[in-house]
Amino acid sequence: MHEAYEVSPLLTVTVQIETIAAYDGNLLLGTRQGHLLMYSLSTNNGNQGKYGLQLLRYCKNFSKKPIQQIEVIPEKNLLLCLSDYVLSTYDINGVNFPLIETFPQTKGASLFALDNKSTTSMTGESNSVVRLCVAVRRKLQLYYGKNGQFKQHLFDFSIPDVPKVLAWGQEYLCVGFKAEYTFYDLSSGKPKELFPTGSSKSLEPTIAKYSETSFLLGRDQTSVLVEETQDIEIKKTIRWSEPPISVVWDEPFVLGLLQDQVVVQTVEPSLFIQTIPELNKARLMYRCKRGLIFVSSVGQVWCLSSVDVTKQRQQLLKDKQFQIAITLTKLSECSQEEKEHSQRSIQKLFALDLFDSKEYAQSMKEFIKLNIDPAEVIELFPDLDSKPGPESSKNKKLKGKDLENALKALIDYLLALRANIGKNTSQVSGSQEEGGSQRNVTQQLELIDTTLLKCYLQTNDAFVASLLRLNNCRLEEAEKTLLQHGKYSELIILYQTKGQHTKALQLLRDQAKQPDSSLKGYSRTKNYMQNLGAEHINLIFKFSDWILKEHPEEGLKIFTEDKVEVENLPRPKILDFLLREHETLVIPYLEHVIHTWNDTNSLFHDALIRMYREKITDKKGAVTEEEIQHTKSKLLAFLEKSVHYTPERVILHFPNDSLFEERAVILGKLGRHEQALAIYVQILGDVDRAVRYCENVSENSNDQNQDVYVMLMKILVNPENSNALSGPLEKVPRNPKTAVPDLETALNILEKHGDKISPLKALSVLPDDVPLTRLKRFLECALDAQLTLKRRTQVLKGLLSAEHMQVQELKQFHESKSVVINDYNVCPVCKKRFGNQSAFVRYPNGDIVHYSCRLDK
Amino acid sequence: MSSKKKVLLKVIILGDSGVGKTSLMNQFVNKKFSNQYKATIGADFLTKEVIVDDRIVTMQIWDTAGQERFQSLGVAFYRGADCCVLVFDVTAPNTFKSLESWKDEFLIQASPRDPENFPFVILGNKVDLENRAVSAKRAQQWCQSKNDIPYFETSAKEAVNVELAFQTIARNVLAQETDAELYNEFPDQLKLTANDNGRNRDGDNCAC
Repeated sequence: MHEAYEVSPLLTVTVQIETIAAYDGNLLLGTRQGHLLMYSLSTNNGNQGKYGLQLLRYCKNFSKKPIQQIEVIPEKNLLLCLSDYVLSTYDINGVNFPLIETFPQTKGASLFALDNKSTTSMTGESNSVVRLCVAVRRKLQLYYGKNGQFKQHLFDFSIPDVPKVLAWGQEYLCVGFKAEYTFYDLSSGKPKELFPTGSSKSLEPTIAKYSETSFLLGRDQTSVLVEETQDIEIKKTIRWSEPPISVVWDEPFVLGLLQDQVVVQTVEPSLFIQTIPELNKARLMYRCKRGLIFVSSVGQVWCLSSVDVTKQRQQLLKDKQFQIAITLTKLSECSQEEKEHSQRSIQKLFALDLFDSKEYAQSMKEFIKLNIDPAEVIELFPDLDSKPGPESSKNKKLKGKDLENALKALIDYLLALRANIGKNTSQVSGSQEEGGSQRNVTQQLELIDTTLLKCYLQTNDAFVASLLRLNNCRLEEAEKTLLQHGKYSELIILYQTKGQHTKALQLLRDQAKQPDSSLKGYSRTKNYMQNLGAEHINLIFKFSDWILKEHPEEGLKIFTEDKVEVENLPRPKILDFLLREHETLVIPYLEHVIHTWNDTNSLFHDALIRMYREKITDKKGAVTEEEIQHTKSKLLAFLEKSVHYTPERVILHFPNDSLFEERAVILGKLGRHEQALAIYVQILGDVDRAVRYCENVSENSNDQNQDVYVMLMKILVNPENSNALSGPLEKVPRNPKTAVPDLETALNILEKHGDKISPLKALSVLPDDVPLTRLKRFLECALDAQLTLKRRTQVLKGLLSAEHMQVQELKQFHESKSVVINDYNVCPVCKKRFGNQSAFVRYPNGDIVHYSCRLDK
Repeated sequence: MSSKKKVLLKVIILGDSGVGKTSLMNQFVNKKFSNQYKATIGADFLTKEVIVDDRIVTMQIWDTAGQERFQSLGVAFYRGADCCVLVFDVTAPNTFKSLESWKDEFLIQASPRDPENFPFVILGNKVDLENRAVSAKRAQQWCQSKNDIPYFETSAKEAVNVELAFQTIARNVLAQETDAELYNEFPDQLKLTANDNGRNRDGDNCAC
């Protein structure tokens, strides 16, 4: 049983105690006979309780009438006494309490209430402001006391009845009448009626001040906590076993004086604490200071003193009354540091107790308030604790629903911590310890996130992937845990964020073959590698092998996907790799690089041509004829279209016994038209193709290409003498169709493209025995062209000489103009005359200025 | 749940600093745009009523500071969000890259009941600018790979797609909610009555 107070019987007197008051360590008794007794409290070593009393003064003829009420203002050494229905003040230090002043206007007073507030002014002086209210019959007189003088307010409050009890609030005066309570507004005097003292019969009212603005008012067997806020508000009720005679608030306890006993309770939460029995016929209770309360009957005085806080705390903790323990500690008199320390330890015990009693959410809230090392909280969950220490029996494993609730609470706790850490780091900046605290923060985050991971794995694993991507978990621990739970897919994310790519890819490769694995198949590996980027290219080569072998087409996407990372991979290296390991994929890869990414590097263009060529010529595999034809057409189209390959290099590798058409295209690119034409005509026997070639060339021509037609004619007319196909192509069998001279075709070309052929060159190619009539049309054409040219030139000559004449005439006209310069001419720019030798400028409008002034105008 | 019930949707806008979160909200709610950049501090919200089918929906749109990732705002702030709008700047590839971590961080902090189906919307903002760096195709692809998150290309400046995006947000959340409510109706009711009983018993020793 908790003991908040211990009782010491102090004194038994023969006089009749009417009223008591106490201040500091002093107790004052006022008696019916008009005596005033003053005692001082002293610690007692005897068995009879902790304290004893020593009589200081005994003033027998203090008053002739019974003393009704006394109060002390210790700062001013003032004693206020109500006796014979008049209020008087006395000096408390003087011999026999000399009278200072009597307030005659209080004649008829039944009761007064004092409110003593000491304030410290800005200059450091402490000032006490005293407010006094005296109930005189059906009036309330208000006084304002300063420096020992009391001034009366201008107005009195009229009240309906004689009050029984009075108390000062902040803006209200709380008055208890015979049957009910009323609040009086101090500024206006308006009453606010509260409630009757009892529901059935009227009881004596009791008022106990709970704080500056709240009161505990007795009602039946309860005390009602009333607060004066904007409005008056009923907060709470406290229950007694019978209507209390008097109630006193001694934080954190409320003491109610009942029949022969004092009952101690707390208000929030309302808890019964202690009964102090055998206070025979006690009827008065007066609180001297915190933890010291005097109780008296007519002839007896007791003192209730609070039990030592440490001792109380022990008992409270045993009873798990943590809240009271914390409040008591806060109020105790030990040093701030000590207070905080013990308060923390109590709070921690409280939180742990809440945890034990399965109030997980509540418990975690306490832990957050405490701001303790999260490791300590995590220790409460043996399953989550990373340290493999001895299986501590301290924290038992949770199971089933409890575990689930506890984990939920823990997740909330960890998330709140996370948010706090973020907040703190954003505030701490520029301090010297930043490095250290930063490390500390990272460590904390690691712990929090790793633990969160474990929690999520047990509650809702949909969060696991998100958590891992945030990359605060500890690798080893997270790895172990994920493996335990068989979360391979999440493990890959962990490896990825931690840069453990080799491990990830190995795992992916192993899992790809497991028929029931979540990572079955190649697509995860493919996606993974597509995100790796250029710096891990060797890793990509190493682990793409199996996919490229098993799923070549999809596998190639590792290098061709439309992603920034993929596009930025080093292409020459990839080409090299593919050439070495996966030759079949080279062509699709290069086609992607060139046609989709529009890469202009000649390396790839050359390589693609080589690959096409090899595919056509090396018929080692089972390549169908159709495929070869397809490749051939692609090669030809590419040779014609691409401008980025190097023909000199490419042609070297072309075979001498096939692919003549392709060779012709390359020769064309090289500008070796004669050879190209010879191939078309002599080897392929395709004159039309050769003509088309000539047309192409002369279309995008500059002058020198005009000779292509002549070359073609020469080949046609004189196949034997053509030495275009010397060198490696010497031995290639000539096409029989064009082996004989074909004058007709040559002449046809001559006629058709006569305008583009130089007649002199054409004639030099033609054999001498061609009849003139056969050439008639060409010659006529050529002659016409020459004539047109001549006439055109003549017309031009005439026009130009006419223009020349006109210019001459204009020149003479201008030269014929003259100006006269004499002493009266002044330069409009510098306003000076022209000297003998000065050079001048004449503007078209006739102005004449110095040569040097022309720029300034 | 009656179909005409008034609904309040809590929508949270996230994304790197300077992508246009505040501008998008201002454009949607106030139809205003300013070229001046003012960093948001903490978080602020505006509300706007929209009509989806025959329901009046009040959207409470929370704009957040992009500079400090989640730091000044507590878990409580993200709890109870109905939708999360992730914004990036199509001219700044980095803002696109950080979408993933914004999304993850949000999920962890908000702890929604069903994280896999929580409604997100991605907005690629500033499409009015010429120096575009993230192609629509790439953004779309990413959204598809993330459980088909709806993607909109917006311009807070030219008011392109802003209205449409927020309308879609409201519609999607409502659709999601009806599913959830249907699913949860029965067990919830049981729980409530059990709680009430317990409370009544406690209430017996009321002092009045």
